[in-house]
Amino acid sequence: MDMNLSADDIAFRDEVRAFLDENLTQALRTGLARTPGVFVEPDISLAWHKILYEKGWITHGWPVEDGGTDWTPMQTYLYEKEVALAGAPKPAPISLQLIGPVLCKYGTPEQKERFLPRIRSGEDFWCQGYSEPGSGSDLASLSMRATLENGKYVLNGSKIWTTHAQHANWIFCLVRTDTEVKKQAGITFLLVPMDQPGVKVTPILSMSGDHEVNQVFFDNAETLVENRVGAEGQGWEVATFLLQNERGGSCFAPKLLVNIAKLEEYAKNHLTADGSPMTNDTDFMSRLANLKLRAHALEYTELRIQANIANGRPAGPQTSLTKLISSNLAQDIQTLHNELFAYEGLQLPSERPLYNDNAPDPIGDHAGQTSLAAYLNGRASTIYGGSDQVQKNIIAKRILQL
Amino acid sequence: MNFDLSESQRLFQSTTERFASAIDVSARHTIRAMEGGYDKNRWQELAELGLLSIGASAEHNGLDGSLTDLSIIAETFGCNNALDPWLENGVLPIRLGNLAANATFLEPLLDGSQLATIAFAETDRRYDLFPHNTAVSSNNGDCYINGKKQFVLTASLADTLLVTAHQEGVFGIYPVAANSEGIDVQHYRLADGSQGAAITFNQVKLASDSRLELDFDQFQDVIAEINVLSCAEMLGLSQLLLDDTIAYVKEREQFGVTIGSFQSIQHGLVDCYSELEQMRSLLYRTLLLDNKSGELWRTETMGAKAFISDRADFIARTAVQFHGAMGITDEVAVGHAMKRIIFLSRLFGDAAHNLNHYARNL
Repeated sequence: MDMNLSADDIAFRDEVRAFLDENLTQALRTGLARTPGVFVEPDISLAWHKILYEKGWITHGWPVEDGGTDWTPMQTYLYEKEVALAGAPKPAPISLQLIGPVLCKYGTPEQKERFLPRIRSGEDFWCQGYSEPGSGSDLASLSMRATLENGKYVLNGSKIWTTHAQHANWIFCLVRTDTEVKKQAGITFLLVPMDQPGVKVTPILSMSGDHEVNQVFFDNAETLVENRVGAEGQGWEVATFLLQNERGGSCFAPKLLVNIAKLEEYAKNHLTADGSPMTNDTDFMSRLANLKLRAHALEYTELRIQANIANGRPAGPQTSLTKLISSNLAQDIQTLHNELFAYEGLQLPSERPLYNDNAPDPIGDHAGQTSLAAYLNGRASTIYGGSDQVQKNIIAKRILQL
Repeated sequence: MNFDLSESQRLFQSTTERFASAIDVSARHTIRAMEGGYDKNRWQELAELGLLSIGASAEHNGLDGSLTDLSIIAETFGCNNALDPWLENGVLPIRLGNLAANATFLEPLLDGSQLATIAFAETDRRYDLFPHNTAVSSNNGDCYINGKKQFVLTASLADTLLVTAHQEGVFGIYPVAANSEGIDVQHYRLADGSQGAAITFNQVKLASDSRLELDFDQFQDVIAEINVLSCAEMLGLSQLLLDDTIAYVKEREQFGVTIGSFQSIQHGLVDCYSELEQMRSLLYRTLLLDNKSGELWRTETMGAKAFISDRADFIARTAVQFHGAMGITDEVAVGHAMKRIIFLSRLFGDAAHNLNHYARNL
C-alpha cells in the first residue's frame, strides 16, 4: 500500500497548477462560485471548455485513440484535486462524460468521426433523453415510440427532467422500438437533432427558481437510421454503461473537501451574539468535523476504485456506492452551509445569473445569497442518475447478492 | 498509488487467520472461564508465529513491522472475532518498550515468556492520559510509587505492570513487577469477557532509574498507533458482523420467504456495507499519512477513531437487530463482536471524546 507521488506525478501536478493559475480567470471562478444550480450555464462552461480544448485536456477520461490523455489514475485524481482547489467550473458533463464515452465504446467509425470532434470542440451541446413522465426510477418502462420508416426513425412521446435542453442542439434518447419483447429488450438508443419542427422544449422551474430542466416533446420528430447507437434493442445495455459513468468514475471528494474548507472559512468570519466566531461553537464544529471525516473517507473510497480500474478490475456497481455516499454528503454540507448563514441563509433571489453586473446585491456575503438556492437544487442529487433507493437496490442485488 | 497487500503482508494475514479462526463461540466460553480469562498457551503460540516480535524494531531483535503490517494483523483478528489481547497486552507494551533504550522488560515479551500490561486509567479523569493521581516520590535515594489505577487489562496474567505516574509533575512510565509488595488488586470482568483490574499502589518500591526513557509526547504517539490498530480490529469485526448477517438473512425464513428478500433488510445492509467501505477508506488514509508523530498525526488518528467506532457501533446494532432474538444470546458470534467493538471504541477515548478533540484541532 502506498500513496507516494512520483517525480512525474509532482511535475504533472505543478503543470496543472500553473495552467490553472494562468488560464482560469477571475470571471470564471466567480461564475462557478455564484451559480447555485447543479450545472453552470454555457456562458461559463463553454468559455472554460474552449481553454481546456486548446490545452488538449477537455476529454482526459476518454480512450486515447478518441482524444483521451492516457493519464494514470493518480494523475486524474491530482487533476480533479487541483481543479477543485482552483474553483474551476465543470464543462458540460452530459456531452463529455455521458454521450462522449458511449460513442467511444458503441459508436460506428462514421458516428465517431461525425460527433466526437464536435463534442471535443464544444460545437455541439448535448442533452439526455432518459426519464419520461411515467418512467422515473422504473426507467425500463419507458414508452416513447420510435418506428423505422424509409431509413428514418419517427419519434413520438416526451422526455422529462432534461437538463439544459434549452441550450442543446442534440439529444440522445432511449426509445421503445419493440413492444412485444421483455421491456428492457425493446429499447433502442438514438441520437436526435433538436432543431426540427417535431421537437418542442418547455421549461420546468425548480423550487430554487432556477431553470435547469425541461420537458421535451416529440411529435413525429425524425432522425436518420445511421444515428442509432448499437443495434435495435441494445439500448438498455448502452444505457447501463452510460449510467455507471454518470454515477461514478469521476472524483467527487476533492470538490466536497474544498466546500468544507470554505465552510470553515465562513465560520471563522461569522460572529455569534457574544462576538466570538462560529468556530467556537462546539456543536457546529462537531458537525463540521464529521463532514470532513466523511469526505476524507470518500476520497479514499474513490481512490480505491481508481486503483481497481488501473489494475483492470471494472468499477461496475461500485459507482452506485460513491454516487450514494457523495450525494448524501453534498446535501449535508449544503445543510450546514445554509444553517451557518442564519437569516441571511433565507435569501432566495429570483434573478439569474447572480454573477454579472445586473445581479442584486447580497445581504451579507455572496455565499449567503446563493446558499439556499444551492441547498434546494442539491436535493436533486439523491434523485437524478437513479435515486438513493434505486442505488440501494442495485448494491443489494449486485454486490451483496441478496 | 497502490492499495494491494505485499507478499509478506498476505503471509501475516493468513498466519493470523489460521491462528484466530480456530476459536468458535463455545471454545471462547471455555477460555474465558480459565484463570485470568485467557489461555496462556495461546499467547506462547502467538509469539512463536512472530505476531508479537513484529511490533518491535530490528535492534530489539523484532521483525520491524510497519503500522500497516500491524493493521492487517489487527483487522484479521477482528475478522475472526479473536479473544486474544494481542493489541492491548502485546502491541501496546512492546511499542512502549521499543521506544525506550532502558526497557529491559521488552525481550521476554517478544518470545511470549512474559506478559505485560499498562496501568494508566484513573477514576474521575475519564480519558485523560496524564497520570494526575499517581505519583513517584523519593526518600533517602529510594523511589516509591503511590496511587490508584483501574481498567488494567488482563492484569492477573501479567508479569510486569507499566504504570504511568508523575514525579513532581513530570510524566513517566514505571515498570513494576506484578508481585511487588504494596500492590492491592481487585479483579473484575470486562465487556469483551476479558479480565480487568483495579490496582492500588501503596508505597511500592521502585528499582532505581526504572523510569522508562520516554516522554509524554512519545507516549501519546504510541497511543495514537493503538487507536489506529483499534480501528483496524473494529473494521475486521464489522466485516464479520456484516458477512454473518448477510448469510443469516439469506437462510432465515419468515412469512414463507427469506427475510433477505425484504427491501427494508436489504437497504439496512447496504447502509452497513457503505459504512464499512468508508471505514476501510479512512483507515487506509490514516495509515498512508506521511508523518506519524506529533499533534497533527494524533488529531488525525482521533478523527479516524471517532468515525470508525461510530460506524462499527452502527453495524453491530444492525447485525444484532437483523438476527432477531438469536442476536441477543451469548451463543452467536454477533454479540461477542458487538462487545469487543464497545470495548475497543472506548479504549483511549470514546467517539465523542475523539470527535471533540478532532473538531477543536481541525
